[in-house]
Amino acid sequence: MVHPAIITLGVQFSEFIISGGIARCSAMLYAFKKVIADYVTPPGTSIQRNLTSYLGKQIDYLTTTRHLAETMKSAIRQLKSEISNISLDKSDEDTKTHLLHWIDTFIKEKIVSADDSIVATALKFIKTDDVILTFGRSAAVELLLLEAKNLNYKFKVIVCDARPKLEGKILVQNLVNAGISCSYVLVNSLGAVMPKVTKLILGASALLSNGALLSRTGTAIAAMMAHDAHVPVIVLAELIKFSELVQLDSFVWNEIVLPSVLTPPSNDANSKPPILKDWRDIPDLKLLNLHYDITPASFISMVISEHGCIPSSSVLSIIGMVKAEEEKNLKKLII
Amino acid sequence: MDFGGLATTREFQAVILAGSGAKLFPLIDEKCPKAMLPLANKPMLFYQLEWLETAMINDIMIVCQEEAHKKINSYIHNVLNVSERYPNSKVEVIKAKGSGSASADALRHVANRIKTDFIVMSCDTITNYPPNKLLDVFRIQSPTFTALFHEPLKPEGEAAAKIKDDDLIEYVGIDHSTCRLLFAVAGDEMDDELPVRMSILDKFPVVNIHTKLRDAHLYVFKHWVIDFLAKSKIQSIKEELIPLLTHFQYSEKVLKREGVEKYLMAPSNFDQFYTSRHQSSTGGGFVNATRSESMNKFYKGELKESEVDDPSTDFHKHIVCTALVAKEGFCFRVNSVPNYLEGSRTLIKTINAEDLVPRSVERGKGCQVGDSLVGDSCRVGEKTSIKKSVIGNHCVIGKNVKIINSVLMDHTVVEDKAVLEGTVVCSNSKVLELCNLRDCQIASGVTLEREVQGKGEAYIE
Repeated sequence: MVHPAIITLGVQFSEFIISGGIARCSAMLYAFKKVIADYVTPPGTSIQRNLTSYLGKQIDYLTTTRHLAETMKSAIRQLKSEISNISLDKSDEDTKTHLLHWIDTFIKEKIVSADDSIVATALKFIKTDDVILTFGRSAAVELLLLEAKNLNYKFKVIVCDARPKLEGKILVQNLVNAGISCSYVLVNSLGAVMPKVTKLILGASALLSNGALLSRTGTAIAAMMAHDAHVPVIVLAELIKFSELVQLDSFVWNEIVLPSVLTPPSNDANSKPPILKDWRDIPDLKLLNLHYDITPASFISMVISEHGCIPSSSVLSIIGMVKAEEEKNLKKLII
Repeated sequence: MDFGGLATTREFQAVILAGSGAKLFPLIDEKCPKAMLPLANKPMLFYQLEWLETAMINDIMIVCQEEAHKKINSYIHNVLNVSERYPNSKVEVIKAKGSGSASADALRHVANRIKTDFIVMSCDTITNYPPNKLLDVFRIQSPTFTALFHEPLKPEGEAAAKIKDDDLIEYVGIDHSTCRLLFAVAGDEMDDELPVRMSILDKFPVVNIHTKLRDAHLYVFKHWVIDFLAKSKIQSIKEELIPLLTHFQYSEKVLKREGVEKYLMAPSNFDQFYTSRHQSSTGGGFVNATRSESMNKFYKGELKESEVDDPSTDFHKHIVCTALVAKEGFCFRVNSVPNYLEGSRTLIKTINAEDLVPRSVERGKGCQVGDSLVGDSCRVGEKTSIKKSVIGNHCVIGKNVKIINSVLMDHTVVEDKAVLEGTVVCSNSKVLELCNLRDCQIASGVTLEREVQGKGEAYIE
C-alpha cells in the first residue's frame, strides 16, 4: 500500500512540477515525514525492522514515476542507516520522534546550511562589474545571486536557456524582481555573448567520481564554450550530490523524456505548418529528448561544496572522505 | 494481507448523493428510488460504485432519504454483496433527515464523518472517464475543487428535433491553458446578457466560454470546504457553492466577506510541498501566483499566523478551481427521461456483443434482436423486432411486436402486435395487444388496455 503523500509526490515528479535535485530531495523528505508519522507497526514485528522495508516499497513506487536523483539516493541511504542504528529498546513513539527530528536535522544541515556555506564561499569570487553567465535554473545559483544583490555587489547576469524546458525564464523573473540587471539568451547566442562573460556558474544534478558534471541538457555546451574562451567555470554542488558513479558521456546513461515536446509549437498566425509536425510518419526519423548531459572534468575549473573549493579531479577523494566518516559514525553507535 | 504500516490513511472519501428525482417522474416512485433505477439492467448506483472502485477509493458514504434507505441498504449488502465484491471498501448508507432534497443539506449530514479530501457524486452521474486523470489534476495543482464537464449525448430519432435544450444550457468559462474554471452559470438565470467581470479578464486574459458543456456533478473537494459548508447556509452545491468558490478566485472582497481565510491558513490545509515547489527548477506549477515572501516564511515556520496580514499575500490566488472536460469514455447524467433513454443506448454500446442476449432467452422464429440488451429468462415471440433497446429480466414479449429505442424493466409483459418507440415501461407493467406508443412512459404495476394509441404520454394508473 502506497501512502497518499507518496502518490501525490509521484504525480508531481512525473509531471515535472517538482524538478531539480534539491527540490526533489526536500519534497521527498517532507513526504517521508508524513509517512513515518502515519506508520503503524504491524503485529509480530518491530518498527526498526519493518519500517525499512515499508519505506522501500514507497521508494519503489517513486522510482516508477521518475528515476531517483543523486540527492534523493544519498538521503535514502543515510535514512536507512539511521533506522538500522536505532536501538531495539526504544518505543515506537520515541523512534518516530527521533526519525522525524533526524530528517529535520538532515534538511537543515545537508541542504539549508550547505547552501548557505556554498553561497558564502562563492561570494568571495564575485568581483565588482562581473558579468556572470549561468545555464538553466539552479536553486544554488539563484540563492548566490540573490544574496550577492542583497549585499549590494555590482554585477550583471546573463541567463542562458534552452528548449523544451525553458527553466531559465523563471530565474530571470526572480532576478529581475530583486533588481539585478539580466540578459536572457538561448544557446545559439553563446558565441556572441561569451567575450563579455567573466565567469560561468553552474548548478549540478550530480557530481561523478571522475570529476564530470551531470546536469540539465545544454550545460555541457555552455561549459565547453566558456572553456574555449578561457572563462572560469564554477560548479556549486552540495555534498549530497557527490556520487560514486562514473560516466564518460551522455549516452551511457540518461533519462529519456517525451519526444513530442521537441517539435516547435505551432504558431497559429503562421500560414506554414511546423516542419516536424508529422515526424511520426517519417519512417527514418526518430526524435530523442535527453534530460541530462555530461560535462567532462577538464571543462570545470572549480567545484564549490560546503567543504570549500576543490578542483573537479578531487571529487573522488572527497567521496572517500565522506564515506569514511559515515562508517566511523556507524561503528561508534554499534560499539 | 499485510497492510504493514498503513492503518487508516486514506487519501479520499466519497459521498454519493442519492436524492429523489422529480424530473424522472413517473419512473421513480416509493418502490424504486432514483439510485435504484435500472440502466442497462443494473441500478444506477452500481455504476458509481464501479467508478469509485476503479479510482481505488475505499471509504464510500451514500446519503439518501428515509424512504429509500431500506431499499438501497438491502441492495448494497444483499444483492450486490459489497463486502465480497469490493473487499477493501467500506460502504455506508446514511439517512438524511428532513424532506429537503438540497444537495448541500445532505452533505451537512455527513460533515462530521469526512476527515480527508472528498469526492461528491450524484447518483445519476454515469461515467467511465478514467478516474486517475481527475485525481491527478487534483494532486498536482492542489485546487480547492475539481469539476468534471461533459458534452451532452446526441439524441436520436424524431425526439431529437423536439428537445428544447435552452433551459439546460450552462455558460461555462474555462481557461484551458491552466484548466481553471472561472464561472459556471445556468442559462435559465440569464436574460439576454451574460455579465462577465473585468476582474476575471484582468487575471485570466484567455477564457473560453462554452455553451455545449454540461456539469457532470462529479466534484473533488478539499477538506476545508466541508467545514466551510457546515457553517454556512448554502442549499445547493451546484447552484450556490460552486459559483461562490469560482468567484473567490478573482474577488478578494467576497473572499474576506465570507471569512474563508481562516480555513486557508489552517495547518491542515498546509501544502507540504510548498517550499519544494518554489525551489523546483520548473517553477513548481504555481498557477497565476507570485512568490510571496511572507507566505514562504509562514511555511518555513518563521512567521506566526497572526503576522501574515500582508496585503501582498494574495489569498485569492490560493483558491484554485479546476475543470476537466471528459473527452474519453462516456459521461452523462440521467436527470430527465430523454437522457435516460440516450444513456441506455450509450451503455449498450459498451457491452460485448456476445453478452447482449444471454442463453436463457427464448427466441421465437424470425425474431430479430439488434443492438439491444436483453435480460435473463425472457421470452420473445415470433417475428418480433427489437432494436436499440434494453429489455429487463423475466419479460414476456408476444408476436409481431416492434420495440425500438425503448426500455422495458423487469417482469413486464408486452402482448402481440404492439409497437413501442422511445417508450419506458416500468417493472411489473403490462402493455396489451395492438398498442401503439411513442415517447411514452408507463409507471410500474400499470396495465395498459388494448389498442391504446399514445404519443408523449405518461400512464400512471
